[in-house]
Amino acid sequence: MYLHRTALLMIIGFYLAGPLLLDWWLQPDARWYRPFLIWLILIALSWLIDMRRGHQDV
Amino acid sequence: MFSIHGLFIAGVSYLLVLFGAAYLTERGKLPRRLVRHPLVHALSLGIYTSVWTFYGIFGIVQDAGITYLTSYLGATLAFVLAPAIMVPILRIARTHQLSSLADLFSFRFRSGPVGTLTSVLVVAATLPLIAIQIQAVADSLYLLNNDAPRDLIAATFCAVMALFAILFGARHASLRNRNNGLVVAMAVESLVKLIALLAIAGYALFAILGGPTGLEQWLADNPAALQQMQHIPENENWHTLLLAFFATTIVMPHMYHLAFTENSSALSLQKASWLMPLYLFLMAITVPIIVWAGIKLEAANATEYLILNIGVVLDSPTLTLLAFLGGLSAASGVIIVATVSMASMLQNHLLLPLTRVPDNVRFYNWLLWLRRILILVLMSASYLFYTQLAQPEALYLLGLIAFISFLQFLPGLLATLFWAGINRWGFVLGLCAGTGSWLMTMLLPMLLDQNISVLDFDLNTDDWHQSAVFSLLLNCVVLVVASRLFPTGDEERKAADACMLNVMQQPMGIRLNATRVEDFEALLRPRLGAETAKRELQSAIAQLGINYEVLSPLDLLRLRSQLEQHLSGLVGPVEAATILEPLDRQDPIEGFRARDVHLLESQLEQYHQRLGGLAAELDELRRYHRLTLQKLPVGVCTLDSDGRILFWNAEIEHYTGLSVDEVLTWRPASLPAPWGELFTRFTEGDQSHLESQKLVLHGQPRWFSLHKAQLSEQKAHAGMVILLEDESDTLMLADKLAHNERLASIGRFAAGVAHEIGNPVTGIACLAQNLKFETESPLVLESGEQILDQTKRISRIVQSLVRFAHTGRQDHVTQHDPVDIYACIAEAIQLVSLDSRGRHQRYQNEVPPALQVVGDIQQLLQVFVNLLNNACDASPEQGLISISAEREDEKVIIRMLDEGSGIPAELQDRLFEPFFTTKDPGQGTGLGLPLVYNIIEEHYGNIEILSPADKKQNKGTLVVITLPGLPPSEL
Repeated sequence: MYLHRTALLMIIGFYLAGPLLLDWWLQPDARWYRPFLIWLILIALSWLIDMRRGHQDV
Repeated sequence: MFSIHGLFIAGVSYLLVLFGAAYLTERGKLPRRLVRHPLVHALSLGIYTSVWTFYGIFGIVQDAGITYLTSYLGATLAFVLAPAIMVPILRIARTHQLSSLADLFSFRFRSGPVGTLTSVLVVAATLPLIAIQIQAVADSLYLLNNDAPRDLIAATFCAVMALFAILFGARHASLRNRNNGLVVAMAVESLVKLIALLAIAGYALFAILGGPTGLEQWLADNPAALQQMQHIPENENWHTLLLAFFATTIVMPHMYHLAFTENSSALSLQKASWLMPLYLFLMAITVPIIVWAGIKLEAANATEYLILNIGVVLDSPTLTLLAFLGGLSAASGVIIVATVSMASMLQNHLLLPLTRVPDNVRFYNWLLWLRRILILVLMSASYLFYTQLAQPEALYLLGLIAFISFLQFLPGLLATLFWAGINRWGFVLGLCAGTGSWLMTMLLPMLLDQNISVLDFDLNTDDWHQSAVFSLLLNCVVLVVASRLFPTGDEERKAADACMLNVMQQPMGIRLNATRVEDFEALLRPRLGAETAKRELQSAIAQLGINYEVLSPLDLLRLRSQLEQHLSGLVGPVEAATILEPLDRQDPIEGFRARDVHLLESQLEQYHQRLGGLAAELDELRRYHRLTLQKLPVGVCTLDSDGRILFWNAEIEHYTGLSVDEVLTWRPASLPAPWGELFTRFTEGDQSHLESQKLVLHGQPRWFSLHKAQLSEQKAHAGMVILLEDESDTLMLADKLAHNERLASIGRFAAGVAHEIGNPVTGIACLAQNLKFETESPLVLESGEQILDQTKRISRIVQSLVRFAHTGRQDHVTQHDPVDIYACIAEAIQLVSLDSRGRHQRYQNEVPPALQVVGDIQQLLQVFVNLLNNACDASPEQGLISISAEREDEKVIIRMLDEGSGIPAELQDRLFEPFFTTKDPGQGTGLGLPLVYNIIEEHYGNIEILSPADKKQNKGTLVVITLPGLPPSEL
């Protein structure tokens, strides 16, 4: 069984950081747009990764 | 209330724009760069946001607060992970022409029933989704105008959608061809939806809520509204929803179709990994703003249709129309693409295995019409689903349950990519168990409970997610257990490897029952018809770029793979495999086969960029070893276990003049003469070495040595390696050396003979001299004189021989003193003039008096005497022999020109050979010029003879001698 490195890292990362992130995200007294900020960071990261990655066609 | 005509015109205008975009694309009126741009394709994936997200989401926010984000976040997760999950699926789908999820699974598990089961389940889960889209359009119109005939609107809408799907989604019989019009239309739809939502949200924020500060103030004043939005469900529902939406992003038929079937480049999926999260982000952030604006306007009573209701409450036709068009585009995108995708699924997995192509029809047209009819049937079924369901409100619930059902494909999909150990039994039983559990615990209770309503179904409190998770777990457990219990076939294992990430497809290990293209054609003809069979074959051959006339076994195997991929795009993978199955037979020979190795290598070449870690290191090593063999300065050829040529390096290409592409996978016997005979004799013989085999190549004799070794000592048929060495140059050099040695021994022999002859000749000369004193007889005296002349001649010959023998000797010491050329030549002229031949010539010594060379004066004198003698012999009486010289840098060039008969061209090459003479017998020894040559060589100079010197009169000879001059310091 072979797991893609990115997928493996994502799963472990999500498992470790997920609950913390969710707790912080869903704090009742937080600003309503806090979840969207995290989302924007995720988009920026994906964009950066895409920029750095060379085009690999199938 | 809006006029029905106005709404109708708006709707029709929008759909016309959609048709126009697709039409212009198909006609090539739009710039190709725009149509093929990865961002356009990535944007088309926005059809993920159906009316479920456009309208329904507002209902979910009011019911379940922040849980609404799951439908966006699930998809965001799928797109962020696109390089790890979607790109590999695209690779498999493109390589093997798999146009739907059913194609993918039936290819992976090499089973027709798998495809049929997947198709049926996908269609069953998608029909409610399509019904929701139809209902949303009908309801939104009804909301805007209570007089609008809902069912008629729904029916008309379905008809238009079917028309669009047929016109732009079913244009080509083969799914190899892209429907660019469809992709562009879907990108336009995604944009329309986004613009509509952003415009309404912008209006809500700035006009209704008073901008960001106004919003903050309003939220501070209405904490209940904020709480409703931030409401966190008590149970873990959102986990399941997140997973379900993650799965649906990949496996829903319309998503699969746009992401993989209509996609030819991984680039667009890489772009989608940030563009789609951004798109979904923009969609999601509008939701709370619109909800709060709705609450403020007290328009929130319409729950799902809140976005429409805002325009109605404000009495703003623009806002209402925007919302209506946004909803229309959200609905139409899903309907069109899902129908097209399901039609190809049902065609490949339900109809084609059961039906036979009628004779006398054109196969492509037949396929195309079959798909078009299926689109109509599916659209009718969706409409029926919409009309026949007792309570239209339950459709939203049904939609949610349908989303959950897509979750059942997730284990199979992940196993396809990451776990080759799963087999068809595991997949089918797991899917049946999971779906059965879903049916019993979710769908049936909902359908049987007639009193259910949307509001009763509470996302917060219901424990439906437990059923969903249970069915998924059951699916996974059965998948693994059944895969362990039931055996996996060879075919399936190979297909599993082909789908694995970073694992290459193993070579097939089969032999083909075909040797010519006609064999393929004969196989395809009964199923596809003569014309289609020919076209498919031609297309596959053209794509491979191989020669139609001469097909090597490797070409045949490549053709088979290519054909299977093409047919898979036409009739699905199962049908394609069935059609081509009679071609295959198992190969009884184990070990490396040439064609397999070449397929493997060509795959490795393609995969090179994608290899990482150990695989990349090993590939580097493989390349290094291959290059070593390739560049070896000895011809290398390896034969596989079947006796076919597996490797052919550059040197052997050079020797034989046969390129690697010509000979690969051929048997040695098939090689052209004389190689075929030589290789066959050698490979079949017992000898490991074959020395100096003479072959005539291009009219020239060449000599080759061959060596061979078995690749494995244990196995008799493990293949062998053959080395081919060109020995021609070595043998020719040895021949030349032997010839020289012969000449040298002749020289030594001559010197010995000369020495032995010298004494008796001196005795004869003395006796002849004595005769003068012994007799007065004039006859005897004349005889004595003649004897003396003859002995002088013998002495001359003998002296020449001795001198010649001495010049070639290593122990002979050549003096290196300054020699005055002018004086040397003058002396030579004087000596030659003493002879009767030389007396009648004219000499011209034009050498500058001060010119000197380094050398042995006696030897150089010999050179000039020999050359002048030759010139005299060749010249007519009173012929002019002129000698000139000049200094060039550190060399002195001496030219001797005569007006003699010249030397025939064919003899010029042999002038310096010992004993070669053109003079009459008794006149020359054939040692004069060789002696000159040897002396000049010993003086580190060279000599050249040009004849005829006077080309116009074709006579005369020019001798050019180059000798080292005196060093400048000694001048």
